[in-house]
Parts: sequence; structure tokens; C-alpha cells
Amino acid sequence: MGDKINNYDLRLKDMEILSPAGSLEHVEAAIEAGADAFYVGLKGFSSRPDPWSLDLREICVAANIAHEAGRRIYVAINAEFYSRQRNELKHAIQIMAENSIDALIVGDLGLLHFLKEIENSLPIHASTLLGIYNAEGIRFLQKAFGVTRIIVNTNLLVDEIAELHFLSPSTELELISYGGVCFNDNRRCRLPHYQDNEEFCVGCKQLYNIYKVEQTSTLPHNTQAILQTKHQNITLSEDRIIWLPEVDLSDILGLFIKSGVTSFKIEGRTRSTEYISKSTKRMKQALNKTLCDERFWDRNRNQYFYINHFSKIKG
Amino acid sequence: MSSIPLFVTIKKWTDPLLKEIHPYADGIVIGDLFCQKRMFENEWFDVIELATHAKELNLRVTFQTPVYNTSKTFDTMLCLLRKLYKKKIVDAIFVHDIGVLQALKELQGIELWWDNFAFNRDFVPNKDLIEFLKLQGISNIEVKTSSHIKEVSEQDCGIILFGYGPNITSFSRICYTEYFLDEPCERKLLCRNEHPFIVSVDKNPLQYIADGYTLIDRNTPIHFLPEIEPKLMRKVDAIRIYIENINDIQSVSAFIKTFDKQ
Repeated sequence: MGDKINNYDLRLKDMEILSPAGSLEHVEAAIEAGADAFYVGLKGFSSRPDPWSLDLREICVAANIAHEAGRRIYVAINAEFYSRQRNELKHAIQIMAENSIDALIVGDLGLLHFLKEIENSLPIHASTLLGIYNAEGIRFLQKAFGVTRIIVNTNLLVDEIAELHFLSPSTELELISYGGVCFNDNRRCRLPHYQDNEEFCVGCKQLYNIYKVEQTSTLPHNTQAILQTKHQNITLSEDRIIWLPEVDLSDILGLFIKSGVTSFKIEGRTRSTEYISKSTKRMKQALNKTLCDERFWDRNRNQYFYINHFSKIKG
Repeated sequence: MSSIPLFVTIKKWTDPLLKEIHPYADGIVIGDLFCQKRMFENEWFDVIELATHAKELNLRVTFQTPVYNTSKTFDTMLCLLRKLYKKKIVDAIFVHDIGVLQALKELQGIELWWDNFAFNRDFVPNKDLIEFLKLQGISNIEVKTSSHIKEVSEQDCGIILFGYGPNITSFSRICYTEYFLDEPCERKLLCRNEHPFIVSVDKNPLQYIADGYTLIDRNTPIHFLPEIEPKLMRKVDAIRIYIENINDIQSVSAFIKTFDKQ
């Protein structure tokens, strides 16, 4: 397989399984399970709750563990960024640079602007929160801020991902491929906040019940006001859309590799150590299996993956 | 007409509606956030005609770029905007993403407005973000609250206030109207909103109304204007409202006039 890797124009040597880590215990588990890289949140700047983020000291320890094992560590700075946090963040960036953090995951245009101003030297990965949907956006982030990787928005379709790669081949693409993904736009969903009046910090795992409205009399009292402007009878037919709280692309990694994705991310910094271990092993095995598949290496059979996988998706 | 310019967005644009709106509005916003089928009879093909008629009525025209500009729509949208620009029938453009913003720099002289849907979750108008957007040519930022008016104005950036309309709680790129009904997308479903969907979320049943793309917290639009401190209204450069019908604009327009008197 080695020769084929050398000859293949995809950057297979950089192919990675990227695991979540909400604690140092998670870091150990991810490495043990074969993660090529893992990501953590910087406490106070992460979109996950503080108990599932690492402080600077812990990040330095995690970096040391990662590098000794020959793995990479990325640090997410993806919570809302306030101007008052500038000095604190500047200090944190300095420390992380000294500890050779492999990349920062950034979710705010203002923050990118700030990083440029303080002459940050660390590589930058653009979070899904930046809402990059087109090659123009990628080129700009590359040119203006030196962004090296785009974490692909979960709302993009496979052909759109492939087009991004085709138009910006030098940018790495990362895809959330295991864990919680919602059909709502993860960049702008205000549901957790709206419902619970809490910080945006916990992965939303809502179940949505969607009702077609035909007859008012069957609805609970409090919905009358909502519906009074609708001039029709209402029936509550209990159809339900449940978006699986877990996505698992392990069977179709080949499709995305051929579309230009090089990093397969597992969601779940707030999950158990067992989950991290299990999901990492599953994804690592799937990646190895894909790369060992003779059909994957056959340049004349690119279609195979599309046909095979699309038929799988359709079930 | 009030001293604060009023821009109107409506779910579905028609020529007669344009004439009805004319006495109350200073400008219109055309282009749907998600599906052009529901805003125009013939998708974007109607935009040039509509913008031309708006200009004849002396209305300012703002184009709303869709939320998702992928390779599927990007070039078409850009061509349309070039055409509007060349014909001088567009004054400003609402932008959502940095890629579109870069592409639109070629249309010199057009005002670029940063849409309230362009922000991550809850908008934090940090100094760096506003400074960056201004450097990229954004002249106005759309906000919804008094605190945001204050913060944006302190950084010397123009302000568009989203004054009236549905409070969108979340949205999706997937139009699940079709999926849910298990029948082809009928324009009437989206455009006329004949079949609302009630969505429950976990243990809070029937809390939201869904229109295929957006989850909003109630069916009646929210009037954001009464929540704004009167002294901050002076810092607002324009108000954008999203109306269902002509009655909405009459009530909003009357409300704005009370600010003028103050």
C-alpha cells in the first residue's frame, strides 16, 4: 500500500482520526484507542462547559502527552469572544505557542482578526461556526489569516464538499463524522439557550416532534393562540421526525476521502471515557479498512464509492 | 414617512403589494433567506423586474443574499447582483458569509450590510469583529437589542435595527416540509403557509412553528421596537421589518412615528 500512498494525489499521509477530549483521562483514552489527533477546549473560551474543558496547565500536560506519543493536539477557542477577554487570551496563546500546540480551532471572525493583530504563530483551523460554504470564503481565510484547515459545515452536501476541495486543494478539510450532529444549523441554533436560558455549552440532543396541523380542537389549550391566525381545521397527526442524535460515517469514509476530507472528527467532549475509546477505535478501524480496500486505490473506479455509498445512504 | 428609514421584507413579493407598501416604506428587501420559491413567483427571475418597479416608486432596494451560498447558487447570485448593479437598481446588500462579502467587493459603491442571521448563536459585538467587518467594507450591522445598538454605535458603525418579524429560534438547510408531507414540494405550502407545522422539542410540546426551514417561537411576529430605549433609537440608521401583510406595516409605521415625536 505504501507505494500507492506515495503516488496518490490525496494527502493520505495526513489522514487522521480526530478524537474529542474533555479531560486528561479522555486524552489518554483517545491516544490508547489510536487517535491521530485530539481536540480540547480552553477553559473560559470553549463552547463546552468548563468541567469538560482544560485549563492552561492541563493543556500543557496534554500537549506533552500527545507529542511524546507522536500525536497532535488542537485547542478550541470557540465560545463567544468578548473584548474584555483579550489580554487573558493573548497570554494563553503565548503559553500554547511555547508548548507547540498543533493548531487553534477558531469560531469567530473577530477572534481571527485579534489573532492576526497579536501575531499568533500557531496554525489555525476554521470552526464550523465561521460558516464557510464556498471556496471564496476559504481563499479569504487562507490569505488573510493563514487558516490551514476548514471544519466543514455539517449542512454541506457531499458534492459541495468535493467542490470546495477541487477549488481550494491546498486547504485541509475536516468533517464531523461520528457523534452528535443535528439537522438544525449548528452555527446559529439558539434552541438550548432559548429553552433553558443557559449558556450555549451542551450539545443539543433534542428530539423533534413535528405535527401537521388540521384540526384545532385536538390541540392543547396553550397552542390555540399560536394557531388562531390559521383559517383551517387542525388535526394532530403524530408524525415524528427524530434526527438520530448520533451520526456514524464509518462505513462511508471512502466517499469523503475521495471528496477531499482528510480529518474525521468525533464529536463528544462531554461524553464518557468509554465512548471516546470505543468511537475512536471504531473510526480508526474503519479508516484502515477503507485504505486497505483495493477498490479504493483504483483510480478508474472512483465511481464505485459514490454508487456504493449513495445506495447505502438511501438504504 | 418617519425620519428613520424603514425597509420592508415580506414573505412573498408581488407588484400590487409593492404599491401598497410604497406610502409607508423607504425601501424594500428582496431575496429569501432560504427558498426563492416562496418569495417570488419565478424564483430569482422576478428580482430584476421587482427591483425596477421599486425604483420607479422611488424605493431603495436591498438584496438579501441567501444563508447558504455554496457552489450551487454562488455564481447565479453573483451574476444577478452584477446585473442589478449595472442597471443601478440595487442600493445595498445583506451579507451572511465572508466568501460572499469578498466577491461583492467588485460592486463598488454598493452598501454592504451584515445580517443579524450572520452571527454565531448569540451575537457578541466584540470590538475586533466590528473592526474587521468595517475593514471588509461592511457599512451597517443589523441588531435586535438596545445593548447591541449601544455596542455597535460605540465603534462608529452604522446600525440596522431588526424591528418586527418572526423570532427565528433555529433554522435548517433542509426543507423538511417535503419530507414530512411525503409529497413533492408544493409552492402553496411554502408561499401561502397554509399548513403550519407545530414542533415540540423534548418535553416542551408544541412550542414552535416550523415553516420548512425555520423554527420560530410563535406564529405572531415579535415587535422588537418597544423594547428599544428611545434615546438609542437616535443611533439607528434604518429599521428592517419582516411583515406578513399590509396591516403589519401600518402598525409598525405608526409606532415609529411615536419615536419621531419624542
